[in-house]
Amino acid sequence: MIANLIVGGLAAGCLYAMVAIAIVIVLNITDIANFAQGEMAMLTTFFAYWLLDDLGLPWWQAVAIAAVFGLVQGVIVQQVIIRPLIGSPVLSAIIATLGLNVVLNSVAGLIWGHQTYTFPSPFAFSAPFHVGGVAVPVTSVVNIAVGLAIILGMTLFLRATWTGMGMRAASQNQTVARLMGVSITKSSAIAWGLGGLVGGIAGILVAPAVFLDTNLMGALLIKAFAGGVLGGLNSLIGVFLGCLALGVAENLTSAYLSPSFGEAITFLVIIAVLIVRPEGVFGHVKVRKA
Amino acid sequence: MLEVKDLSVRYGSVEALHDVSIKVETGGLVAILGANGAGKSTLLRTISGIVKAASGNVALDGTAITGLRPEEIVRRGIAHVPEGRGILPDFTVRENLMIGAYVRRGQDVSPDYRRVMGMFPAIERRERKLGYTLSGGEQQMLAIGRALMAAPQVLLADELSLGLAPIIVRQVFATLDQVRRTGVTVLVVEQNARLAMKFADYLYVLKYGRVVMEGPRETFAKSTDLVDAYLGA
Repeated sequence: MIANLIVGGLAAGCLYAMVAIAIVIVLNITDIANFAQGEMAMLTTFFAYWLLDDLGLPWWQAVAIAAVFGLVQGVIVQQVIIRPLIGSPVLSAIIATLGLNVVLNSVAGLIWGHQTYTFPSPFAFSAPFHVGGVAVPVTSVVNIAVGLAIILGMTLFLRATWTGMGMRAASQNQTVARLMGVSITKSSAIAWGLGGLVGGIAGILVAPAVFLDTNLMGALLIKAFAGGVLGGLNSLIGVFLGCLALGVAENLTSAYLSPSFGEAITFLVIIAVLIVRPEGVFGHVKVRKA
Repeated sequence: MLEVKDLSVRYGSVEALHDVSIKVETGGLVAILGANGAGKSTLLRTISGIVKAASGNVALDGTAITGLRPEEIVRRGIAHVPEGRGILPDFTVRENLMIGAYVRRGQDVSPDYRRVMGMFPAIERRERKLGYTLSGGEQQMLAIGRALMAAPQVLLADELSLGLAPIIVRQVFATLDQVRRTGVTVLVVEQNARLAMKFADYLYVLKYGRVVMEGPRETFAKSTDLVDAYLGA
């Protein structure tokens, strides 16, 4: 029983982590908290749904195309909305993402209406794996595997490639990064593209479990933020582990205390962490001067 | 050769540089002296493209580089050690050095890495430490090393002596002299006139954004009173 709850919590935590990583990669490189991240992911998921349902593409194909859509969407948002605001206060860009959030929600509402859709999953009816007597649903395995792949891939990209190194340099000191030859606009575009991609994948993975509608990402976004704050927003690994911990905590409190308390734990975590350790468990205070 | 001609820079309505012209011969070490706010850092920042010029030209070996983006200017061979060193706090010493070679990605930079580390034994010992844990002197060495990783023709160095103990300052300048001997052209900005006069072969004095005095080291050595007057010392 407890093992099932933990595995389920890890699977949910991996979904939170994907959304959190999408937000944090943009936040760290550009200092912009992207409030439209959820609706961008929702749009990507609806796009995948359209490919599946209206065009009748096979699941894998639709998901691959939608992932590219998410990436391109991120880059377009950066180029069209964020880039003109470079040089103005970061707050302007953050307000712009709030506006985009509303626009995307309305656009999706216009196209698909405000009813719910059933988003198919090829794993929904697969027989669960049995790991040491614990029945693990295939969807959980998929969530965890994709979550691990994303955190590993992202870490490798940021640490072992020139582009990733340049982006990390830009996140610490833009002037110095430019003096080293790093293009800030390019770094920012890549960060937004990755955010769009990873967020979109989270949307596609969560949609079969919760039904697809224009408010698909609302709850996930808050949990991603809570998990991110718990782990420390400036550490990618911290964000990942924080989200896993939140997922597990949520599942355990729902089961052992009260199902309604499972939701409350998210907000308790945010409040407690912000009071006790605002930089998060794995985060550190950002050193602004060198 | 690095040549700056009639360069003017404005921050809003304030003129930071007014018709500044300087010349740095290939392989030379030139120093710009001046008090706080004289426009020294602005000059370097304009050369490397961080600040836009209002008028005038910057040319490297006869090719105009005015108005190019910083990433293009460093690619053309001008590396900049910024004011305050600009060490990236969350990068290790190794990463701080490697990012200097960003414009050379795709090339094998490991020989340069070993060469630069060889120049700075103090930071070599701290290869895995994070940038912010280094002392001021070590950060300054690292900042110079990082600029060298771009394999530059010209090195711009802003206030290397700022906040460092005199003995460390002498080490830093000795290193700069060593760099220059490898054929890199060096342009330093400095408040410490005595120090600059020891190492530079040609000097300029900036005051309120204008060149008020220039000449070879010998001339400067003979007119230290005048230099002191200009620097407000």
